Amino acid sequence: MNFIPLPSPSAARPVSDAYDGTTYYGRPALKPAPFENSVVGSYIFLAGLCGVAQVIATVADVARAPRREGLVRRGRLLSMLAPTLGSVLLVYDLHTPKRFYNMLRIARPTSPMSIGTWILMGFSIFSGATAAAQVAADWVRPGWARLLHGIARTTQVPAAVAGAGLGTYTASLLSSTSTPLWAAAPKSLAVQFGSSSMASGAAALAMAERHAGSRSLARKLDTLALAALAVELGASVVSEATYRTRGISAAEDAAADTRTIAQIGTIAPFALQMLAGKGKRSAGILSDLASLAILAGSFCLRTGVMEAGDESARRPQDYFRFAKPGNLPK
Amino acid sequence: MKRVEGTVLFTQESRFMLETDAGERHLFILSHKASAEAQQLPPLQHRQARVRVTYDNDPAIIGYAAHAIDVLPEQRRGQGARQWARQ
Amino acid sequence: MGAAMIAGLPLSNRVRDYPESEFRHPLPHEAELTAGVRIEPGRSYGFFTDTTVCIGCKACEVACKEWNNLPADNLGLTGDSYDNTGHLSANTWRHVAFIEQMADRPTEMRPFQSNWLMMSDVCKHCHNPPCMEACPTGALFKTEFDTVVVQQDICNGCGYCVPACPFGVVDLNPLDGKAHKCTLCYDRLKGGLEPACAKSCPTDSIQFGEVADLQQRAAKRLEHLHAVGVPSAYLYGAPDGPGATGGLKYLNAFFLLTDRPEVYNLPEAPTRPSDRVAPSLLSGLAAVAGLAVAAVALFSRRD
Repeated sequence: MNFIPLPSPSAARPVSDAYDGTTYYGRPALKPAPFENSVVGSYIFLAGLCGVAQVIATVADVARAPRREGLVRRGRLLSMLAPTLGSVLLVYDLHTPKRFYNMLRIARPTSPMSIGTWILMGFSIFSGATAAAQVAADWVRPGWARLLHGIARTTQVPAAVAGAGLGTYTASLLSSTSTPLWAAAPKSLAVQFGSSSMASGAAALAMAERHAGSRSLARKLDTLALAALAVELGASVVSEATYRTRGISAAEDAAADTRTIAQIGTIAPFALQMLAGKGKRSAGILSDLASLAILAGSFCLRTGVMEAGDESARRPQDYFRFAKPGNLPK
Repeated sequence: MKRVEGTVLFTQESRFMLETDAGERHLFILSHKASAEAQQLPPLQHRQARVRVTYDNDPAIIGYAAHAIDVLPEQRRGQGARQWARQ
Repeated sequence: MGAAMIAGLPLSNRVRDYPESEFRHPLPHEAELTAGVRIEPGRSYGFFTDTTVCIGCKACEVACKEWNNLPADNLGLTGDSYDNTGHLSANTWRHVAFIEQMADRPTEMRPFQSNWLMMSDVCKHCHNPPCMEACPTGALFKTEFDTVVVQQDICNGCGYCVPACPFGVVDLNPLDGKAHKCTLCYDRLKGGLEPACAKSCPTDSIQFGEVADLQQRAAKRLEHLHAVGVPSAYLYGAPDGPGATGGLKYLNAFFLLTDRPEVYNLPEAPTRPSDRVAPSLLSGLAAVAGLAVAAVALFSRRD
């Protein structure tokens, strides 16, 4: 009898090291985060701005910077945007907003969303107390004012610690998911977000100092913002390299426009500040432009990362390439 | 917004099956706009309660979004529903 | 519980007590009769889905929708073989994938599975569930049956469990604003019933039972398949194997597959997202702390 020779069943090794591009009809293997990117992006931006505003105010106060009173006051007041507007944005993005208080049922160290809730709570309490003491001190007799300033000087320390957390935990929030682009480079993404927060806080306060006529502090804050931008730039190079080696960088094209603004906001301030240092008459305008560019760039960095992440979750080939044994943490 | 009256046959999470007085069965999902909560539905099932549901169509599913549930006063119902309740 | 092999199936001796084919009332510990396992709190239950015997009938999908009162969604035709369900979603907790491998000529088709792969996908009920670890409200929890369930009265629809899941299972229903996924028929387990999908599966491709027991059964099945000439068969979601990498440890709902995981829309080496919390938090804080030190230096400089 003659049998048709049977082809051997598919490759004996079902699990291979190299990904050959197979997908299931090109269908996504993951679900993108159901966040409203403009809303959550705005929150991440505000959280960074406000958290760092508190850090800068506290550092200026503790380091006894010359003529720091205005900066400290503005920093403390600016930080109140996170507990107010920021919280509203967070609740708005819930799909069952009336149950927002359930976030306070538990504290879960494995969930950056839970960690962030408590950071925001702590920040709101200490920052709120600091800002309240600051405002009240302007209205009462000098004796009481001294006491209130003392209170603010105490509460600003935990507020600044929480502020540092508020400016960075949002990166951890994105990284601690299965979305390939967010998960690929947890450390450098966190450095990007943290330094971008620092840049935005310094830029906003620098602009305020300039308009309040405090040139020297404004210059120092501008320098701080540029230093933060330099760190951010370095970290973004690391992130990009990671995305490329993991083969998931194509998803970034989905957020090309936002990313372009973010890149301009990271690089343009250097040129603008250099020009501002040379030109005497238009220096203020150029510096303001630099600050605004930093703020816009910081916002777009966050929304850009969110958009690109959503796209990477929708691309099965990116996820499968990412979810290979070679990419597992050692 | 449309309204329909009927009996709550059974519930799962935020979903419930309503049998209208005409004998048709429709699936509803309690919308997040509704003041009623999912945990209030099982008692309606146990009582086989008669309710009036205010609802909207949803093109993505074969079912409706229930925005409000008003419990109607008890009245004599079909024998079938009673038997369901006892089991 | 007397677990004997009856008609080749590991069923309880109790089946002999019920010769009728219709019952007026639920039977106590019914799963003992249908799946050969008594469901008791404190033990670990799951699914073993043997895709080599799946015939793609979608009885599991229908049974799931029926029992859980889930509406039909993904309306329309996809054009992707016989898969018009598409994917798991808030309203679809079982999804039968159809992989139609048409590269070979009909005369060259393999005798085994005839170039058709079918798999009933479901929530994996991970041992270390990323969705639960991500949930900030505690709505997602481990039940007394070691399964993962969203408590609907607590979930506030933050949606963070959705990107956390490495298998794209959890989904948010925009209608009711809550996260939904397979509950492994939590209510049925509490009543001693086998989950609807497993009970309805006509080929026993979906097997329900205690996880340790299922893992043993799967190992035996694997050995058998290797012996009869299916060397490509392997387990997805067995302890530390493919699908259970990166700290997930093992999946309570695991699969026997015969092709690479990607073919079934599954990642080969998923990770545990919570492993990234500490590294990223610490790096971010270090960056801010470093810049704060720079700020101290700047501010304390006299001009």
